[in-house]
Amino acid sequence: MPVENPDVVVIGAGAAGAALTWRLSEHGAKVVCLEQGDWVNPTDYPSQYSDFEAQMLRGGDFSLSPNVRRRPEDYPVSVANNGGFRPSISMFNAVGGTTIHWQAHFPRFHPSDFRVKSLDGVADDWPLTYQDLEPYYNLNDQMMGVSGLHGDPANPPRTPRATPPLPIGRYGDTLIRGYEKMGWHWWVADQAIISRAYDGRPPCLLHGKCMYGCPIGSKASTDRTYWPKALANGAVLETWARSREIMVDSRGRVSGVLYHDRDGRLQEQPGKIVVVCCNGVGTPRLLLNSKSRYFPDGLANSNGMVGRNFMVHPTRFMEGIFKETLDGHIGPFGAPLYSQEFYETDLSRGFVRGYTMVSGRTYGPLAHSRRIPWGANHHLEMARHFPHTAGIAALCEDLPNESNRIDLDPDLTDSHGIPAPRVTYTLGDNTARMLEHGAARAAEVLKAAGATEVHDARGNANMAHLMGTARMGADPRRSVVNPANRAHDVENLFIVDGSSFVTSAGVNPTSTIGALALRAADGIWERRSEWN
Amino acid sequence: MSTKKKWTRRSFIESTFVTSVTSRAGLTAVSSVVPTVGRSQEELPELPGFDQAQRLDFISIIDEIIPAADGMPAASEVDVDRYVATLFTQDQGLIEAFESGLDFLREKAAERYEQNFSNLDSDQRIELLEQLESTDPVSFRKVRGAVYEGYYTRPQIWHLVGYQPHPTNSEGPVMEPFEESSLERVRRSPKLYRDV
Repeated sequence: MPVENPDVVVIGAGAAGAALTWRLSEHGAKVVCLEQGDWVNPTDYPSQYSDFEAQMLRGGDFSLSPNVRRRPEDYPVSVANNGGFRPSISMFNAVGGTTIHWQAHFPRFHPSDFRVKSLDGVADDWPLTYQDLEPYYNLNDQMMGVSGLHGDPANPPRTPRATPPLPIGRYGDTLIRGYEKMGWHWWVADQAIISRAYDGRPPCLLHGKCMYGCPIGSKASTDRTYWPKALANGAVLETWARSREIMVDSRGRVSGVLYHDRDGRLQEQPGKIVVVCCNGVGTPRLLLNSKSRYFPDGLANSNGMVGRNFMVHPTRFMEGIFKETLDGHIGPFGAPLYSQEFYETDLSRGFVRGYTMVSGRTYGPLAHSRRIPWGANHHLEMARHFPHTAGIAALCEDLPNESNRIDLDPDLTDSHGIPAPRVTYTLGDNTARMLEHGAARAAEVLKAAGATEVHDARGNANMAHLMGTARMGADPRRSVVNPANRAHDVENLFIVDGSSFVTSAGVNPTSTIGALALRAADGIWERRSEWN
Repeated sequence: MSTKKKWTRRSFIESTFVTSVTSRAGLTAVSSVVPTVGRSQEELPELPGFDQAQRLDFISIIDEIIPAADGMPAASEVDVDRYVATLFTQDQGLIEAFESGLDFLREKAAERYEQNFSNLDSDQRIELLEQLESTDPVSFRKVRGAVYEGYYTRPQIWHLVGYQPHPTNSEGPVMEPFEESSLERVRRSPKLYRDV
C-alpha cells in the first residue's frame, strides 16, 4: 500500500537503495522504498543443498541471469546480436539486490579513476574526486563489514580494516608464488565478508559457497547490513512493488511513482523526492518508460543521454592446472588476492588505462566438469583438473562509448507488459588490446606459480557490473545527473547506482556504488528545504 | 541427498573387479536385458512416455557419457538415471533433448547394426553418440549437462573426487590465517597509484 506523504521514494532495494535509504532515515527523513522482488529466505539459498551448483549453473531460480531465472519479479533483457562479443547481463531482483549472490570483492577506485580525461586524455573526468568520496567509502566499509589489510602500495592509505584478512589457503599461496617470482604487485583483497564477529554478524566459516547465498550473513548483503537498520529507523520497504513509471506533475517535477503491487494492481506512491536505484540496466529502462508531455523521450532524457555509455567489465579468465592438490573450492569466494601491477596507464603496453588481475576462487566439481570431455577419458581428465586448478581474471576498464547503450526492446515486455530493456554493445579496440595483455600476463603468473598448462577458460566474458547509462557530469549537455546525482532535467529526481558512473575503472564497482549512495543521501538531506 | 549406497574408491574398484571377472567368464549375457551393472528391469527408472527399449537406451547413453573407469563408477551406478528422471519433471526441454537423441540413436543403431542401441558394444555406442553430438549439438549438450549434473551432485562422487562439500550448517574447513609476512617485498615497493 502506498505510504502517505513520504519525503523520499526510493526505487530498488539493492546496494545503492539500501545504503541511501538507511542514511536518509538516519537523518530523520521519511523514506519509502519500492522493490520489485521480495526478501530472500536464507533457508532457500542453494548453498544449503547438495545440488547448489546446479541451481546456478543449470538455470535454477538462483541463476545469475534474469533471462534464465525467470522469477515472477524478474524482467527480461535482450542483447542485440551485432556479430561480436555479447555481454551477459546478470543481476538479482530482491531485497539486497545483486549483493545476494555477489562475490563480495570490495576494492575501491583509484584517485586517477576520477581524472581519466585530465590524466590520460580519454573519456571524461568525474565531477568529484577520490577525496570527496573517501569518507563515504569509509562509512560504507563500516556498515558492510570488511576484512582485509591496509597498507597496499597500489592504493591510497586507508583505515585499518574492521576484521583481518580471510585465509587464502594453498590456492592463494600458490598464486603468491607466481607473483613473487614475477616480482609483481599483489595484495590480499578487501572483501565484504567478515573474518571475525562484527556488528551482530558471525565470522565467515569458509564454506566456499558465497555466490550461492550466505545463510549465516558473514557475507555482506544489504538485506543483512543496511536494511535492518533502515527499517529500525522507520523506513518503509514495500516488496513486490514493480515500478512502471515515474510520474511528473504540471511543473515538470516528479510527483511519485506508478507501480504494480503484488496483486498486479496499479498504485500511486507520491513523494517529494524520487531516487532511482535500479542498476545500470533497470534505471535507464525505467526512465525511458517514463514518458510524458514534458519528457516525450523519457524522463531526464532531454539530451538523449539516458541509456548511453553502457559499460561492463570485460574480463578474461585464465586457468592454470597444477600437479599439486589445491583448495580453491573452499574458503570465501570473493578474491583471496589481486594484483594492480597493470592498473595505471602505461602507453607502452599498447592501450590506455588498465586492469586488475583478480584471483577468484574456483567452484565445485560440477562447474569444473563442464569443460571435461565425456566418455572413456572423462575421469582421468576430471582428476587432472579437480582440485588442481587456479585462475586469474583480468578485469579490464571499459571506456564509455555512446553507441553502447540500453534502449527499450520494441517487442519484449515483462509480466506486467512493461517494455523490456535491450542492450547494444561493441567491445572497444582499446579494451580488446587490454584483454589480450591481461590474458598473457595472467598466464605468466600461473606458469611462474607452477602451472603445467594454462587455458583461456572462457574467452572474452564480462562481470555482472552494469554501469554508465545515466552518467554524472557538470555539463548538462553530455550527462544525465549532476555531481550530487540529481537529474539535470528534474530538480527533485536523483539517480544513484552504477548508472551514474562516468567511467568504470578497473575494479568491482559495489563499494563505489555504496559510497556514492551515502554521499547522495547527505546531499539530498542537506537541501531538504527545497523538497517542496 | 542419497545415502542408499556409500561408495569409496576401494569399494568401487572391488565391485568393478567382480563385474570384470564375471564378464570375462561369459556371465554377462544379461546385456540384452540390462546393459549396466546390477540393474534389473524393475529397477529401471520411471520415465513417463518412454518404452522399455528407450529406458534401456537411456541407461546406455548416460553410462557411455560417464562410464565406469579409473576407479570411478558409471553414471547409472550412482543413480544419475533417477536424478535425470527427476529433472524431466521440471524441464520439458530436457525430455525433448533425450527423446530426440534416443530417436536418432535407435534409428542409426537399426540402420547400421540392425540392433537396439543398448545391445551395441561400447565402441559402437560411442561412435553413434559422437554422430549425435555433431548432428545435434544443442540436444547433446543438454543431455550431457544433465548427466554431469546428476553425477557431480552425488555425495558419493564428491568423496571420490576429493571434494569436501562443507555444508553451510557445518563448522567449515580449517584454513591457516593469512601470513602477513608474505607481503614483505610488496610493502617495500614504491606506491603504484598516481597522485591527482
